[in-house]
Amino acid sequence: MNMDRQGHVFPRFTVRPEKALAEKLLRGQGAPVDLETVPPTYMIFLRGETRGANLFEALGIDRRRALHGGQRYEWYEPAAWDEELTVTATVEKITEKQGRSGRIWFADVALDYARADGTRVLREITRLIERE
Amino acid sequence: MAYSEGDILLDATVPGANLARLADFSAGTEDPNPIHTDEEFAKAAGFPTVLQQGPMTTAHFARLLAERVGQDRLRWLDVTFTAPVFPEEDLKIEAVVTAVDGEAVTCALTASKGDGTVTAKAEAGFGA
Repeated sequence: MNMDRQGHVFPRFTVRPEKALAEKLLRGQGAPVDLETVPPTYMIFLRGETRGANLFEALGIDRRRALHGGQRYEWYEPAAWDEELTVTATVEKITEKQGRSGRIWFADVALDYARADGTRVLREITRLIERE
Repeated sequence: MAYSEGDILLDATVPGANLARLADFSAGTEDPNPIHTDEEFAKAAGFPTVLQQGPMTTAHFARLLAERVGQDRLRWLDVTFTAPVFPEEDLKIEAVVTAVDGEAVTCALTASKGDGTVTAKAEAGFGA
């Protein structure tokens, strides 16, 4: 884990909720494919990987030693299909702890999604873990 | 709608995901991590087989809670993953109201396997 990445702000990128991706997300869940609204967890940090915010690469996390610790969502405004949202991803905190079988690193990354006029739509925090 | 502490909001079982569903979820979330789709990669990482995505549990919590209380009422959801979920493992999803403060309702959620292993714990807030 690149500890010096704490506080790093990634270049802003944009996402547009797409029905085709949402359909796969819902099928993956085993849920009814109801596309009336954008699913509440459609926005996810993983979409940054091909849009200039690859958290694993930037933080130097080896996927073989990676775990997903958790997620937090805060919903402020509903997102609409094909609406362009600007995403700002910030490495909020990186901590290191000594586990029973080696060191463990924890990184909290916050992603803020906003409309073009600055209206806040959603905040997502993802908690990534790397084992030594 | 009026809610009270102790109200059971969710008590549902989500059928285990097969490999095709895991692949769909990875595609739908643009997740390139092979640990969800490549058995050899997962074994090299120390697991017996591929892992179900943690965000799938988050998605179950959010979707089921949205169906129960209304998506427009959801305010926040905070999930901690506590154990891996493997293909075909059913998950029992439970949620109970823990606090009511005027229009703000807080609930605790859990996802657990058939053997009782808790795979995720969460707290969520929504508007009454």
